[in-house]
Amino acid sequence: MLLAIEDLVVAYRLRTRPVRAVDGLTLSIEAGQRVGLVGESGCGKTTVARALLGILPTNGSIERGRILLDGRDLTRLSAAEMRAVRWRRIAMVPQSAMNALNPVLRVGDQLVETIRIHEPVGPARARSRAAELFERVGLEPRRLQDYPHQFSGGMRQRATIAMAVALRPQLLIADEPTTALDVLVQDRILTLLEQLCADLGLALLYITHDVPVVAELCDAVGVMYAGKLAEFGPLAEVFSAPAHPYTMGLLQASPKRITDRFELTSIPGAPPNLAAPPHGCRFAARCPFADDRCHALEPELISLNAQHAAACHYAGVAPKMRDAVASGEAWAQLQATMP
Amino acid sequence: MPVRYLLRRLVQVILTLWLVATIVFLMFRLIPGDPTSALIDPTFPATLRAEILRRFGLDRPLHEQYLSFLSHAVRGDFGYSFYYSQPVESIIGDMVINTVLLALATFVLTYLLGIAGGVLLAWKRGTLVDTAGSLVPLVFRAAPVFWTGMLVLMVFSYRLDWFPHAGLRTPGYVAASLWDKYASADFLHHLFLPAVVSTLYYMGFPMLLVRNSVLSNFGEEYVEFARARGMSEARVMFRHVLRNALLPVVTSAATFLGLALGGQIIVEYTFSWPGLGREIVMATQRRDYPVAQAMFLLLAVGIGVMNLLVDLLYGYLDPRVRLR
Amino acid sequence: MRELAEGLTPPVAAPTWRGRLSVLRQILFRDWSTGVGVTVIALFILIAALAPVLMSHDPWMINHRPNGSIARLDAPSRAHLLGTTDLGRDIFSQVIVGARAALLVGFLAALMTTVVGTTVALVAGFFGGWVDDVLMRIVDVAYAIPFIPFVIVLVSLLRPSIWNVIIAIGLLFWRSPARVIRAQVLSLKERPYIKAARVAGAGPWRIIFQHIAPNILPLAMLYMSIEVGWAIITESSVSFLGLGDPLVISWGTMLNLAFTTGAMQRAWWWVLPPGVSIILLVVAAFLVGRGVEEYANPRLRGEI
Repeated sequence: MLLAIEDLVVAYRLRTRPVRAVDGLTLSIEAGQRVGLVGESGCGKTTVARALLGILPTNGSIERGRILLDGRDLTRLSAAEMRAVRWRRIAMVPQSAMNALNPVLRVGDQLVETIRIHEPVGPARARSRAAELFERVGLEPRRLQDYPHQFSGGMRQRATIAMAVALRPQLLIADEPTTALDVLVQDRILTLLEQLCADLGLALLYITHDVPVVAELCDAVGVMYAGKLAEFGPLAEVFSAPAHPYTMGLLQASPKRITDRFELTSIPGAPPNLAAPPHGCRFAARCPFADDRCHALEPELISLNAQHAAACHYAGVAPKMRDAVASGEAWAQLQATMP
Repeated sequence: MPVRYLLRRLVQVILTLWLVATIVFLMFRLIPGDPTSALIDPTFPATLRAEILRRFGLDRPLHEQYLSFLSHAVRGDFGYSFYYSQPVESIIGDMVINTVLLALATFVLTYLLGIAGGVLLAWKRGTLVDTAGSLVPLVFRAAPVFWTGMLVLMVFSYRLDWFPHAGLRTPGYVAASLWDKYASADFLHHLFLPAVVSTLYYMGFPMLLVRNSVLSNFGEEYVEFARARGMSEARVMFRHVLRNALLPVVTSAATFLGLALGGQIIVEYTFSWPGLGREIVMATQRRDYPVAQAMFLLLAVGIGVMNLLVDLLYGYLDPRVRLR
Repeated sequence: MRELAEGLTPPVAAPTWRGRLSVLRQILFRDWSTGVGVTVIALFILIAALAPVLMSHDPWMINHRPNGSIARLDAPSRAHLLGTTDLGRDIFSQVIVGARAALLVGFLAALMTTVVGTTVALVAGFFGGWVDDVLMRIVDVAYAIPFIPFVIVLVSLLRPSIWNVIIAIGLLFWRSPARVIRAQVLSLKERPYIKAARVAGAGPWRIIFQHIAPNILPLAMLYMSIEVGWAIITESSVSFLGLGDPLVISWGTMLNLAFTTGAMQRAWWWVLPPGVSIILLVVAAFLVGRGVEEYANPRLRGEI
């Protein structure tokens, strides 16, 4: 077990009241495994990434829980110790490479800097390593002396990927790395990531709201909703036999042929306000199968087998729910009851 | 640095200065009463008046006077001072140096302390240091610089006698060399109070600007990414944030120069520092219009040139502007 | 902003006159520093209005001591709360009446600059084209003219009166709000609801008044409050340099006399009160400006 997140709670202190962006997350990643983390914007996925790297903003803090990397609890580390872990063991590919790179410094200098602050390498040696990294991600080494604004979107993303793998981390977190790019470039970047992970034996945590991408890239997938984990399991299983109504809805809403149905339905309604979360199941307001128990009692993660779990009172009767969803009636009925 | 950009800016500056010169020309000739009294002292002997009248074409129609004014001004010929009874340009020489030295001392102190202060305030954001540190420059800005000067003089010069209260150097001091003239202990002793008073007044400007600029950069993604890569706070601040945060400080230097000019004039007057600033005040008090006119034009030219230099500097520092 | 927690939706401000005014009222009085600023300014206005009642003596009158000699440079006492000038005039009364000059110059100059600057900004920004070019060229020239030298030269060329000081300040100060507000007008012009209004056939002046002006109001108010401070400092500086209105008692002229007579070497009671008054009023104006700035920039309010 490379990484084990246990009951992680991350809260932000806003002017008005504290908000739990992540409320009790438990997740694990094996060495070399590729795990996807999907959910709508605002569900807490990026907060998870920040918590893992220890770069929460000043008003954010980990209230509870542990993050075990190779058995070592990252939440208990001092700032200096965490800096040694950061990037060497866990690295990140950010969402917007344009904004992630310092606009007034050359890209090559930023890459060299990344290498040299962690390893005692001379400038010349670091420079040649940077050139190698550029080649590995498909960039011309002579581009090292350019500034970020001279790169195209796809090239910038490649550059940040080069930075991320520079120190050969054990875990790579990709936070929506392709959302800012057009479809063709997306595809190439994904191929690159896949290749790098295979070549370097990296574990990957791929965070996104784009379900089809996860289907192509990952071995396992976790589904987050309103700060909690709704479902988790091997990719094939979760996508062919989802056990949580939210997952079912997500899959219906995806344009790609994951299920046999091709109907596009979006889930009506909106996620709850995390400043004042509802009692009971957080998805109940938008769930076609919710009953009084769902509205009153928050469901635990129920294991369906050794690897697959879902946080739904009715996970046991998932097949019935799937049929209702597949026929399209479930959502139509729900839509009718909503204002 | 693209040559075309340079040329364009240069043309702009010249155009603007020409317009300013025109405004000056009109200003000095629209005073109520005899327009020539702006340039010829009524107390001059008749022969001298006639000579000046002829030489500067003051008996000719306005547009001819305008052209003559421009052609003279470009050559540095600003007429005769009423007060000194000498050509204006002969008075200016030393004064320029004095003004530049005081301005330089002020600028260096202000920006050094201001930037350091701004970084400190941003680092300690939200704490008492930040609140107090933001309030103090505000109070100093609200206090007219001549008043602060007066207080400082009252305490440190008149009461304690630690510093002289006027001038560049002790009267009767004979400088051994050019270096001695301007770098001697006596000179620095005289420079201290006016420079410090000026700095106190202007420090707030870069300080608050740097503070805000650094803080807004803190919210940028590249800072988060830098931290994510394992950089220490100090490294993030000095190697990454400051390089971005100081850019607006450079552009603000242009505005600062415009502001600082006004203050410089007042400080020179308060400390009887014999520079251009003090001279323009004395000239307006004495109604010595040729000198006032000349000073005004010089100051405008100075500002125009400074602005141009700042623009070019910014273009050099920000690669996004440079490599268009 | 990075500090936003995921899952919250930011509030949307109503882009109408009434909506903005009510928020403005909240802002002005909720932060303690802004409240202090507003209170201090109100106090000074009260003092200026009630000056004839509050003064202990006629500020121009030459006072005498009990023994018959002129009360030159007397230290503060029961008879003269803040002492006397070198000519025996009561300083306390002068400080009180000086508030009038300060407020007059402050508000009038600030009003003039804001009105001119905002109008230029609206016209240049909205109409664009050659109108914009010409107006911005004029702004460039205004920026090239050094401020204090201009004011002192102009005041010396005309008669030294307080109205000339106000005019001199107003002739150049408008350049800052003009540039900045124009930038905002330019960005507002591209907003969907403005474009929609134009397509719907609304005339330009209607659009300017109903849609654009309410949105630049906060910025205009910000500049106005900053300019009150600057105008007061400028007037006092000009008066200190001996170019002020000799018929008006202002804090600047008081300090001028203290300086030129050399009385400042001893008479701290002549130097401190006018200076402190200037500081109080100008800081108050800046604090109000800061409060307005928080309103103009929703991020600083902490809600976004």
